[in-house]
This record gives sequence, C-alpha cells and structure tokens, in this order.
Amino acid sequence: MNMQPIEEASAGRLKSKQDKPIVYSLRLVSGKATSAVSLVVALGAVLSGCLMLVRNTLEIYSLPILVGLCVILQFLFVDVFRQHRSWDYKIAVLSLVVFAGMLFLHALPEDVTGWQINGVFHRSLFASLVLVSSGLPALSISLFYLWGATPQADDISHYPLVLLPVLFALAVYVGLIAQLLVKGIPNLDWGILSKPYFNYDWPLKITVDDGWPTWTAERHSQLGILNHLKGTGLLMLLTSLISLPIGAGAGIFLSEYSRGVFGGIARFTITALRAISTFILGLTALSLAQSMDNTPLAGIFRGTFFNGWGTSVSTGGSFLVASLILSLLVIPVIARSTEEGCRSLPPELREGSLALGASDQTTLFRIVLPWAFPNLLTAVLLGCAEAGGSVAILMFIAGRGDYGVGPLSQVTSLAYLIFDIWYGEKSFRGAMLPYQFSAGVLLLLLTMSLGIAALFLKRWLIKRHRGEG
Amino acid sequence: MPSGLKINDLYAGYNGTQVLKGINLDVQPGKVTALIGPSGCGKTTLLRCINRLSELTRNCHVKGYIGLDGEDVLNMDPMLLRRKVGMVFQKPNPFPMSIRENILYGVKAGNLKVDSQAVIQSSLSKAAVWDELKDRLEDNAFGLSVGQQQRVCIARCLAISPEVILMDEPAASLDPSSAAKVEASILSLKDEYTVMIITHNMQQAKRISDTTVFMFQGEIIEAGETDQVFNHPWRQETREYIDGRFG
Amino acid sequence: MANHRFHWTPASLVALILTLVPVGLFLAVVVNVAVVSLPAISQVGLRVLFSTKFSNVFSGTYNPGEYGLVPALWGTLLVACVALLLAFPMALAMAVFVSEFSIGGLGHVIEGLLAVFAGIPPIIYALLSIFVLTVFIRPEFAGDGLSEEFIKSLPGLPRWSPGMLPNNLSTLLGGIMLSLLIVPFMAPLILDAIRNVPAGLKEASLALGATRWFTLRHVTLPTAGSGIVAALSLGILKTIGDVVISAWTIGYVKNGLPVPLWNILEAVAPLTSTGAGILSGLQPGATLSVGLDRAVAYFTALLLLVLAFAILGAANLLQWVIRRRLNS
Repeated sequence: MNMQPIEEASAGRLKSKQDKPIVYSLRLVSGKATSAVSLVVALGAVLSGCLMLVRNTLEIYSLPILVGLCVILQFLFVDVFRQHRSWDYKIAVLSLVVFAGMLFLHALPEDVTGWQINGVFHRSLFASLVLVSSGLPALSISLFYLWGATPQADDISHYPLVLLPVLFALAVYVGLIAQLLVKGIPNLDWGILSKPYFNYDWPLKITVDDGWPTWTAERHSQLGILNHLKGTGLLMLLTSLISLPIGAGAGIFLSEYSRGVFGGIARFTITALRAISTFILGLTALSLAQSMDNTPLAGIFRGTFFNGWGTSVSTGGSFLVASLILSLLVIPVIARSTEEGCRSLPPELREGSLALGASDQTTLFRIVLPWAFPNLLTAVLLGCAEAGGSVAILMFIAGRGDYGVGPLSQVTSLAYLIFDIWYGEKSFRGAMLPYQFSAGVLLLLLTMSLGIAALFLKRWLIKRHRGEG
Repeated sequence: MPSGLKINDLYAGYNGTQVLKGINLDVQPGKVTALIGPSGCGKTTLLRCINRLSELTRNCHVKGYIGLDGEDVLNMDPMLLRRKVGMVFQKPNPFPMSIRENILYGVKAGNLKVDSQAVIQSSLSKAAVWDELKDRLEDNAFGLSVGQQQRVCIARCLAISPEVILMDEPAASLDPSSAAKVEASILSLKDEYTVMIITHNMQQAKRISDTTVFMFQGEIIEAGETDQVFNHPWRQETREYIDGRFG
Repeated sequence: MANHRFHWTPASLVALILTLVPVGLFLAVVVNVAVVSLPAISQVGLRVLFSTKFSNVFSGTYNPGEYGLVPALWGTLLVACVALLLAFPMALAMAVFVSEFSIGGLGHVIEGLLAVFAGIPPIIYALLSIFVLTVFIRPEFAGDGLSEEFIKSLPGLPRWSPGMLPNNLSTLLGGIMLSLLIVPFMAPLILDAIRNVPAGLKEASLALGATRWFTLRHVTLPTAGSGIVAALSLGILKTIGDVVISAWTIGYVKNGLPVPLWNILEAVAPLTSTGAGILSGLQPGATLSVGLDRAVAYFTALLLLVLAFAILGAANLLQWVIRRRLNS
C-alpha cells in the first residue's frame, strides 16, 4: 500500500486541479472527521458485540449498528480516500461480508432442530461474532487514517487487535471472580470457620443414668468447614515435605549431573509427569489405598478413625497416600524450577569457585544452590497452591473429615468440600449449600495469596541474592 | 541519491548518565566518514540516534537537531526515516529465512515496487558476494559463513536504496579475507551513498574513509579530512589516540 | 550440562537416588493403570471398547456389556477444540501485548495478574461455571418486553438462588471454562518464547524500516514458533486431562455420539468424566465399582495416557520440523 501522509496526498491532488484552499482544508477536516466518526461507530460495534456475549437479549440492536457500520465504511473509503487504491477492494469485500452476515442473522430460524438452546442465544452469538469481526478491522482502519496513514499509524492501528482481546479476557476474569466474592463473602463468618463438620448421626453419647450406662445418638448439627481447612493445610504441609527434597534433588541432578541414558530417562519422566492427567493420578491413589487391604498396614493406607469403641479403617485413603500422589504432581514443578535456576547461574561464578580450589560439592552448596534458591522457594509455594486446590486426586479416596484430621485420617480438603457439596448426598447438600461459595472464596483467597506471595518473594529474593533488577 | 547529515547540539543519555554531550557534525553526502575513538565514548550511541534505534532502549532521552537533507530526523516517522538511513551491525544478524527473502525483506516491509531479481543481483553485487551466492539464493542464510552473512546483511541494507548507510564495526567479527571484501564493497559504495562507519582499526579508517571524526567521552574532539587527521592532527588527544597511547 | 568432569560426590549420589523416586513412581503409575485395565481388554475386548454404544449402571439406560468409548474420545476432541479455539488467540494477544504493544505500565500489571490467575485451581473454575451458564448460555429472559428487559439486562450480577441448579450441561460450557483455565497458563509460556527471540533480529528488522507489526509477523513469531508449539501442546494436555471441570460442566450420562457430530451444545462426556463416572458415578462416598467396571475405568485412563504421549510426541516432532526449517 502506498502509505503517504494524507496531507501530502491530498495536497498533490489538489495542486494539480488548482482547487481553492478552503476546499483543501474542508477535505482535510472531513477526512479526519469521517475517520473519527467511523472510529466511534466501530468502537460501538465492538463493544456492543462484547455486550451481546454477556447479555444475549440485545441482538435486536445489532441491526441498526451493522447498517451504520456499512454506511460509514462505504462513505469513508470510497468517497474521501479514493487515491489509496489498494484499500478499495478490501473494504468492498468487508462491507459485503457484513451485509451477508446481517442477512444470515435474520434468516436463522428460532429453533434449529436437534439443538437444545433457544434461538435467542443463537442469534446473539452470531450477532456478536459479526459485529466484532467487522468492527475490529473497521476500528483498525479508522485509526490508521486518523493518524495520518503513515507507517507509525500502521502500528497504532494494530493496537485494537491486541488490546481488545486482552481487555475482554480481563473483564471476564474480574467479573467472574467478583461474582464469586459477592456470593461467598456474606456467608463467611467466624462461625463456620471455627466449627468442624460432624456427621448427622454421630457420635454416640454415653450417659450414666442411675448407675446404668445408656446410649443416645446425639444429632450434631453444627456446620463448619474447619476440618476441611485443616485438611488443606495438612495436605500442603505433607506434600511440601515429601516433594521439596525429591524435587530439588531431581532438579539438581538434571542440571548438574545428568548424562547418558539415565539422564534422558529422568528428563523424559519429569516432562511426562507434567503431561499426565490428574485423573490417572487419582486412580493411582485409589489403587495405592486399596493395595494394602487385608494386611496389617491397611490402616496406614486407608485411614483410621476412632468410632467410639476403637479404631477402624475407613473406606477411602489416608493423608499419607494423598500426599504421596500429590507430590507426583508437585515434583516436576519444583524440579523444573530448580533446574532453571541452576542453569541460569553465570558460568563465571562456577568457574571462579572451581579456580579457587573448591570441590564440586562445595561449589554446589555454596554457589549453585543459593543462586537457585528463589526459584526453589517460589516453586514450593506454587506447588502448595496446586496441592491445596487438587480435587481429582482426592476424588476417589476422600471423605468429609468427620473423624478429625491427621496424617492417618481419611483425607479431606477445602477443594474436595466444594466438589462434595455439589455431588454429595441430598441432606448434606441442602445443609451445606450456602457455604459452597464461601468455601470457594476461601480456597480462592488461599491460592491467590500463595501466587502473589510467590511473585513478590521471587522478585525480592532475586534482588537480594543476585543483585539483579 | 546520497544525502548529507547535519547534527546540531545533540545530547543523549540513558538512565541518568549522559553519553553524548553536545555533538556538532556535518556529514558530507556521497563520502565515507569514519568514526574513531576509545570504547565507550558514544560512537554507537551517536549512530543509533541517527536512525533512532536509540528509542528501543528504555529511559533514553535524545535532545538536539539531526537534519537529513533538511528534514528533522527526530520528528519524522521513524519507519520512513529508517528506509532512508540503513544500518549494518557489528554482529551479522541475518533472518532465519532464505537469502532471497532476506534481501527482499526491506522491500516487502516498505511495500516498494521494484524488480525483485534486479534488486537482488545489484545488492549482492555491490556487497561483493553475488558470484559466491548466485546459485544459492534459496539456501537459508544461517548456513553461510560469518563473512558471507555480514555481506548479505549489507546487501539487505542496500536493497531498499537508502541515502545514508550507518555501519557499526562491520568487519570486527570477520576473518581478514572477508574483512577485505567488506572494505572493498564499502569503497564501491562511495558517491552513491553517504557512509558513516565506526571502526577500531585505524589502518582501515585510513584506507577507506574520506573524512575522519575522533570522539572521546561523548564529545567530538576533532573532525576533518582523513589525511589531515591522521598525519597532522590539531589536538593532543587525537595524536595520542592515533599513536596508540590509550584506547 | 554444567559439569564435564564427573565425580561421585555424596551430593551427586543423593541427587541420583532422589531422582530415582519420581522415575520409579512414574513407572508404577503406568504399570498400575495397564495391569488393572487388562481384564477390560481381555474380557470385554477392544472391539466393544471402541464401539459407539455406551451405558452404565449410573447412567440413564443400562444395557450390560455396553462399554463403547468412542463417544468419550469424541467428547475429548470436541471440548479440546472449543477450549483451544477460545484460549489460543487470547493467550497470544496477551503475550504480544505484554511484550510488544504494552501501554505504559499496563504490561507489567497484566503479567502479574497472569501469574496470580495461573494458580487458581480448576475446582474454582468449575464453580464459576454457574455464573457463565446463567448469564451466557441460559438466559432467564426469553426476549419479550424489551424495554424492561434491556434495563434488567445491563451488565450486572445475575439473579441466582440456591434452588436453581444448572441442568444444562454442554460441551460449550466445558470448553469455555477450560479455556479460562489454560489462558493464564499458556500466555506466560508464549511470552517467554517471544522474549527468547534474539534482540539482534528485531533490531535488524526495525533498522530496515519495518513497522513493529511487520516485525512481529515476519520475524518474531516465526522464530518463536517452537516455543509457541510447546505452549499449545501443554495447553492441550491440560485440557484433555482435566476431570473436575469436565465432570461439573459436561457431566457424564450420554449413550452415544451427538447429533449432529459437531454439536457443542450437547453434553458429550470426555474420557476423564466417563472414567470417573464408571468408577464412582461421580458421587462422593458411593461404593466404587469393582470387577469389570473398574477395569474399564482404568482402561479409559490408559487411553488418556496413550493420547497424552501421542500429543507430546507430535508436538516434539513439530518443534523439530520448525527448528530445522529455521536453521538449515
């Protein structure tokens, strides 16, 4: 495309026709004005398209907006900027597409056989797609001409293409999280935070009446999520304890000592562990918990609880089993981060240490590890967040924490609670439903704060330990 | 058509350190001007200010006037500017594409209507590498030797017909025979282009340049005809640098 | 590799032993899945397993012996397509914005936000699907009485009450929530790939008078190609491996392929939900299936494993091809 500034181009044309200066400045103003108006219309088209995705009853307004867009585009590019020849056919095609879109939109019947969703959703989806897909290029082109049709204007005209998806995604995330907070926070009070949840028919209460013991089943109706909170914390702790040394060791091995076949196997395994579905890990957890049935170790793997008489074995899995499998999820994260950290060590530091006569091992502990420490720490925090939020691994072995929380009890967690409320038995769901969003808010706050902590901690530690900005 | 450069009171700095302190320079069109001086005296910064690559660095402020045949460089569209002022870097940086695509990159980017085959042949010839590569135009540029890569970069720069060519130590990372070929191609560019070349090799400066500018600590100490600067320098610092007493 | 001379120090020995743990555990996982699913292959037979008829005790109609997993495979494919179509442009736009087209400090803010959002667990996205459903897919207003509808339909919080559970499960909803899951995961990876392009190439392009957009399209993105492929493949793997979001938004009850085949408004359960459903009916605390049902559930896991490795392999191949094209 011949990208001369508009002024030059217009001036050239006018000089040859010897037009009056007033006509020249009118052309200039009308050019900029038309660009500005088309900018507004295009922006309106894109925004209303996005709005229609949020509320799909507005699709009737798409019609006038589309008509306006077509008119503006025709006027703008065919009449005022005729000298920029190569744009013509592109704009003509674009207008054609927009017209075709409009026709298709209103030819769509209310119900298409075989589809469950009503026609309103249908048409608004198409309306928003047509609007956004014709509005974005129109926005680009009007920006281009508004800025003077120079190469710099070309760069600026691409900003909407990049900025609008980003803002849209941001709006979606923020909107959804805001709605979660609004639903969840009112229910979040100290009451439910401080009470563990008890099953409705337990425990048996023994009273002594005239010297004779009697048993009454006391219905405990206190609702609380304390046990689940404690469960999440215990899971994070146990998982970190297991995966930190192993992950760090694997990371150091991969960056410092890996060679030959075993190095290749180790590297492949760490990558594969990241690729593995959490469903498969959940099945593994189930198998692990079931593996020791009918042996004396069943209690450790299955989880034990005190049932009023003695300990008995639960039907799920214990925290130990869950943490072991969760560490499979977290180890690749820590290993990769540690390996990156070790590799980012400038070779001069390592060579400097060796040149002073330090052994490989000393260099490892004194130079390499402190350098990789920020990566290691942030990976542990992120791993904790993943462990705390995991449901798939616990799905088949978890319980409600009725019988307390400890390494040998049946595993439970806040994330599992949310899942349980949704799919659990009816009576449980009825009682706990108001707290579902609260549990969600708690979990969200927990993981987000771990994420934010990881972010800032990494920057601060890197500044302190490495002196980089 | 070569153009002259007029630089008036140019100040430039990064992050609070002032690198260029009041540069005043007249670059003659169609001549080769060598820029010499010790490391860190601002030669690269000066070149990058002329084609405004300095704007890529954050916190870089440039003040003053640079005129390209009367146009104010600092207030132009930077992309239009860079089509008139080309640059060859110290480390050859061909794109990971075929040689043909490399040469025609600038032409495509600026949407210039040219005869592709003629442009490729003339650019590669002027860069003294046509005979070696004329049968290998579809090969990936990464597979060439360093010397050939640098000459392809020069050809790539020539393909958009700039008026001024800036070169930042183009022969520094090359072996002697490639360096000689690069020098030969620079000599052939005289008259058609205005060339500014940074070099640490003073014999090279004597061989190829018409004018020499000596910079030190962000200022121009001496500028004049190469013969005069090297054989009868006016300033003490120039004499000391040429004699190799520092730098 | 950092060290070219190898000495058996105590530290290296410890590192070696520690690395053996995940390798061993990984082998244990694969072997476990394979072994437990053997009865499915031997007794049910691969022919039945790859048929299109599927039903289970927990689903609508139950005909014993129907273990066809092709609908599940198709469900996985569909939901992965939807999620990627939505997520990839978003992630690419975010990465390009932060690296090239950032306005002021907004780029840093977005980068920080991405890091924070990446930590949100999938169960939260499943919970958020309720909002997306009631706002986007199932409007309470059918479109009459437009003026008051217009006022009520201005962006704001939907009316939601505890009794209103979404009973419209669909692949579209699952795809949307999955794309929300993988955008903050893929965007930083693509960003890293873009940042790893040597600065010299970008400078050379700009020095020739190309605009930033032209440089992006012709130099930066092609050179970052292999990194982008890696990001894509990790996104796909995350999509097909996710149980919670699939189970929540798509559920699992279907008995066959959807009509028409690309109908994303029906709920076609992917492999993960199907497997979880066969094992437990997606009911916490329920008695888990044993015997043949259990074997088939583990078989779906085996299929997932094979699929995941196939995708990893394909991605590596693609990366190798791209690197060869760039370098030779």
